[in-house]
Amino acid sequence: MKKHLAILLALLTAGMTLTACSGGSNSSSSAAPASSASTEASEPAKEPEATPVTLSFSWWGNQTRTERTEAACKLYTEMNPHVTFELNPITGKEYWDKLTALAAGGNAPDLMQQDYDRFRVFQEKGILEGMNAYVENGTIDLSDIPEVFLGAGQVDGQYYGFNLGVNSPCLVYNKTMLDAAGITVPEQPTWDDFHALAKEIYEKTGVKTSYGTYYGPQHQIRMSVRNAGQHVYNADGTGLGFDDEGLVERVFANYEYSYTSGYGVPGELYTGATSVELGPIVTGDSWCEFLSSNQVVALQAAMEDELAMVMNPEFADKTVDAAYLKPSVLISLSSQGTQEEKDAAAAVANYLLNSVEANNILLAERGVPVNTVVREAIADKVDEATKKTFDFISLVENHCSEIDVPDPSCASELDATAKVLMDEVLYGKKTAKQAAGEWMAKANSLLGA
Amino acid sequence: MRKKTGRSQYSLRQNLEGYSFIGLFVIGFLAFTVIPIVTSLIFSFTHYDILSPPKFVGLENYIQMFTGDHQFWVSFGVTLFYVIVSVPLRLAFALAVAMLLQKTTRLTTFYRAAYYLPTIIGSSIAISVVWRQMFSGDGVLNSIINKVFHTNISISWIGGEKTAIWTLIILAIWQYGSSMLIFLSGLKQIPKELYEAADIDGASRVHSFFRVTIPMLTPVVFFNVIMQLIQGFMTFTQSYVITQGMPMDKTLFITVYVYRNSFTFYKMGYGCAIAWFLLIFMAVVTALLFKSSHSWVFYQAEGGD
Repeated sequence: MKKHLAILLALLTAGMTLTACSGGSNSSSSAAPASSASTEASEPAKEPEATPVTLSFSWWGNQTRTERTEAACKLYTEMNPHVTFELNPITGKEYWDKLTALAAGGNAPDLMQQDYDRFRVFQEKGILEGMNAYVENGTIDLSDIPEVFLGAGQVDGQYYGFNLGVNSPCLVYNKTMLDAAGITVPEQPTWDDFHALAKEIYEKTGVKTSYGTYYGPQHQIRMSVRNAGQHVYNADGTGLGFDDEGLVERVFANYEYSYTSGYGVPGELYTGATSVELGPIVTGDSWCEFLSSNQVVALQAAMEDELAMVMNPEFADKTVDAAYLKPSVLISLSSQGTQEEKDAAAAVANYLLNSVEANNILLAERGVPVNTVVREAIADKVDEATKKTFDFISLVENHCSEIDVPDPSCASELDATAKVLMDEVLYGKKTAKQAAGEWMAKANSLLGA
Repeated sequence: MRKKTGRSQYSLRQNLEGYSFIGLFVIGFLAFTVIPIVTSLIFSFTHYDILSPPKFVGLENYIQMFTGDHQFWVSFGVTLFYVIVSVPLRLAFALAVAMLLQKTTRLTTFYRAAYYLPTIIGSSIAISVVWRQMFSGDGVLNSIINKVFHTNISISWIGGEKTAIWTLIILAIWQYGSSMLIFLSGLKQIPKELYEAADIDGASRVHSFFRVTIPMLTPVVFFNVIMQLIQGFMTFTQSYVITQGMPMDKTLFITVYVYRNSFTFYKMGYGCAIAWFLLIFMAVVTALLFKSSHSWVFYQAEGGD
């Protein structure tokens, strides 16, 4: 008897482990009709024709994002009892591994958070649902969203993603420190202004200047090339979109200046600074930092001194504004679900974009909301730092040009090379000219391969 | 006849029972170890960007690795240096602490646990913050040096192009816990009579350490060297979490380079090829060590005069 029991137990455990992976969706979908049935009974005839549907929804992000998204989805289910959610937040870099695996198995989440640089790949593989039909039939309402925020989610005129929060590169600085020294920073500085500030601040306070090291040189190269009215990569990602090496060299020249003048933060300070909160602006070694505007909220939380934001410096001889608005995240629909799931998911995307109630819960954690009505409605509910990002985006809106098409996949490798080259310039190992030459050579070999 | 079928039924049942117990492990071993290893070998002969199907390219990845990739050699050199320096130092340190902890006092268990702690903490984000605090320009190390020697230095050890790797080596030495425990049990195996005999012969403590302890301990040393070498080559988190290869790739371990290629640069095939190079290299080193072991590892069971 004991032996039988042992076998039975062993088989049971094996069985349970084997079914555990698939169990999740089964159990929740079978639970869904029961719960909606009971609510329908208490509130009869609210939406009599709606069939129950369970939507899977995945995103990456911190705990705050997870809690707020869960709360917003819960509210949606309260208002639309036939829709239940299977929420699957995935932290960090694993997100893309898991999403890729799910999509490869035909199980991409009905609603998925996408990133501007990656969503093109998913779109090309046919994993994302085109959403023009939902815009035309009114499921997704774009009337309160300015055109400037919509382009990033479009491919060949078809919507594959909607911007859930706007971002833009900025120069963030320690306002408390500069106020005490009686120094002001212009809203739209040029690099000449910036060099002058570096000198003045060092002479008055002894504090050095971060020359864009955290955000990396690739970003500043992009700005430099855009200033000249060109793009780093050509439209189909098969080559560079410019051939003037000087556009790269002037970026490395800034790092070179920061090293030779002695006003710049030494490269040593960046080793080990693996997150924004560990950077030299937090330790007081620098008065400024280059970041994405939504990161300023986290940076402010790590600092006592007040921060303020202005636009990333641009080159004085610019022909075009280099600044651009970037979706911090996009919301996309899977093409792999059933029609009911897609329809319901589109309604949820509309809810996240346009509902004031939803955004009262989400509170711009994903970046500044694109819907102007929503933005105004929640402006006085968000904290001080988030409010500043609202103002900053309003400033950039008037001084920006269209965002580049997503980078080709070799961009991340070029980015890594650029960081090493920047280090070598900051340590005085290479001149700006050498670094620019090597950057061009690496770029051409990667793109040519 | 009847007896036989009964017996085979019984053994079948018994076998089934056995299989059901090992089944889970076998499934897990196949799914999470054997299949991925084989797949990675296949991938190493392809261009594979994870999202589209792999394209067979023969030996191209390996040729690129050996002839066209400067960074690969940089990372290999960094790893080799790290292993060659950190493994002997860690073992020496582990042995020293094990010798200290050999004597049993009331607090011995506490000490053992306490000295094992760094190994458990590993290379977490918290350690990366601590390491920065210790080895940065205004860090703890500089404060101590300045206090003791009345100097005024502010060298950033963690950011220095020559010193950065040493901060990771110190971290490796600090995490000596598992080798220490193995040494400790090895030390306890050495018969007391040998020390007594040495004592009677008038050997000093230094003498008996080199003539008794070390020779008797060689099998344990051998085991530790092999394990630590393998672990050393596979070190990932220190570089990935604390320095991210900075400054200027001076701390770029080969495992981090594999990771970058596979997941950041979308070159899974190339990443797999480097991983296989590392595997083969480690296998050769281990084989050479085994070969050499005849001349320096002493097994009591083999006897001796």
